Amino acid sequence: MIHWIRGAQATFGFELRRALTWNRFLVAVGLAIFPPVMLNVVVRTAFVSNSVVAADVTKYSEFAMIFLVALVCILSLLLWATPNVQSELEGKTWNFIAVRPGARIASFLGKYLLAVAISMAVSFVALAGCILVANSYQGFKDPLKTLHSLAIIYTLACFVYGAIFSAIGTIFIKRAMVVAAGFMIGFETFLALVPAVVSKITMSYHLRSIGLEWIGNFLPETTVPEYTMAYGQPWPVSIHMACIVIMTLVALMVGMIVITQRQYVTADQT
Amino acid sequence: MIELNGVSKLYKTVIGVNDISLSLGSGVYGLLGPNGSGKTTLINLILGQIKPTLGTVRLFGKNPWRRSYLLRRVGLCPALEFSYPRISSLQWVTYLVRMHGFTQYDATQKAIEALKQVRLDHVMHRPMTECSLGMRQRAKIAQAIAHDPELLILDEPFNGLDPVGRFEMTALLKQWAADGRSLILASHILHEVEAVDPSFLLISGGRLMASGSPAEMRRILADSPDTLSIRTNDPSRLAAYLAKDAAIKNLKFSGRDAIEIETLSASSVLRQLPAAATEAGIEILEVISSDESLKTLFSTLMKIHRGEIETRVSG
Repeated sequence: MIHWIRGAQATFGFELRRALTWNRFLVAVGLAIFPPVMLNVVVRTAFVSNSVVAADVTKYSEFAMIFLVALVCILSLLLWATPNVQSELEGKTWNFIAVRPGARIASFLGKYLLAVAISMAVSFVALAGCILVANSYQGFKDPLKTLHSLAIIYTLACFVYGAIFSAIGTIFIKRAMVVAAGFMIGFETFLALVPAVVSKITMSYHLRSIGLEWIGNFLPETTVPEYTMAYGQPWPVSIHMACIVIMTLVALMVGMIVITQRQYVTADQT
Repeated sequence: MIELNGVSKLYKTVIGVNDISLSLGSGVYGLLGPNGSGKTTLINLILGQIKPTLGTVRLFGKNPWRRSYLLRRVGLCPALEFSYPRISSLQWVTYLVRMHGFTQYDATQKAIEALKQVRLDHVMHRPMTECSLGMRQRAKIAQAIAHDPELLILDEPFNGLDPVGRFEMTALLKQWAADGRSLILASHILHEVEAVDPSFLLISGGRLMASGSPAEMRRILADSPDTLSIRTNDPSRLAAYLAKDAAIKNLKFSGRDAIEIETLSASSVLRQLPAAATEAGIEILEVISSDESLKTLFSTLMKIHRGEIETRVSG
């Protein structure tokens, strides 16, 4: 266990050092400023055309804070968590790492934590930016409470989707990112919106339910009673959180089992 | 230390290694084979990175598959070439030593010590992408020895090294062996491995063709078909003298003072030369075995394997 912890720490530090390049920094900044910039453009355009009312600004802000920030959070996780094994195999560095005791798991955990940390940072900056933009046009109702609630929801999202994408990265070596994106679109988007019990197995359902509880309704064109009629009465927040934590642990466990069992061989090693 | 029993490894329909059985105690071994012969697959099997399709592997008496704690006692320098932009040799080696469970401080000390051993300490803060191929090769060796393993496995360690680097690497490996630690040196170049004076394991087409001491390998070479170029003061008389030997397949004159002999057994020809000198008074100026290479050795072993040549070879 101590090997895993120290190895994960070492991987986190090493990968972070590798990540500190202008290219990667600009990608992260680009992702982080995308939602506030978009929000600003939309609201400013609406003001120019003189068609905006206070309720619209709130609506646009909620859209940016929830859907656009979620988008950049997922994109960041796809970029950082999914190619955990693929990058080592393609870079021909896998064998240097894998021949250390417990290093497969340590590397997996270290890269997972780094992906979560970077994606959380990107999401928080994007979130704070959106609130600042919204606040500059009109007094945003309870900005700190919204920031606090959404920050927790994005933290949970980073941990659970980071774990799922990392596990996908250990299973699908060549097209892990495509599979993970497909999973997000098919499973976590469409299936999560199906008004049936089956949607409850998706993580976005649980994250959405926590959001509904903490910051109220945010689904466009829906009222809370309609939502409840479609998806049933939400469970207590603690149950949703427990589901997310369990899924995170299960995904990490699957990833760790696969990475230790799988025979990864680079093409020029046979 | 290492035991393989009837080990085969298939990559779908491609055979990586084919029915290899061997038992290696502590010592220095040269794993020789042409490119694509299965050396790296064999190393990966020994280290538990891949599972044998058939047979059993034991490393330090245990199955290495899923027993990664055994790897604490092994250092591997793979043949793979790579580079990390903006990462120095010291950072990289320290990171890999930390993966063994060492603290940051201990790992750094061990990394510096290893980089000193491979004479890379003067550029250890330089980004690896700015280092030459030889420097990166030394960094690879450093990461393999930094945690002080009992068994060091080097896959093509001389790649990219200049003559001075090769000399220093050989000296390092000799010292490693002299310290009583075990070494497996995989290469496709015979003389590189020979310099460390190991026991040989010859692998070709995924099969272990032969194993033995350097003397045994030299005997195989001596008893194998070869082309000898002999410079003498009297090529005609020497040709007539040697032509009596049934082992000679072909004989031709090369210039005014040399003959080239294609023989089934180089040693039988070589045995006749002193007699030719003393009995017939022929002056032998130079004998060159034009073909004493790994290629010849493998071709010979393949012939032995197919039963085309009879000889006693272990393995």
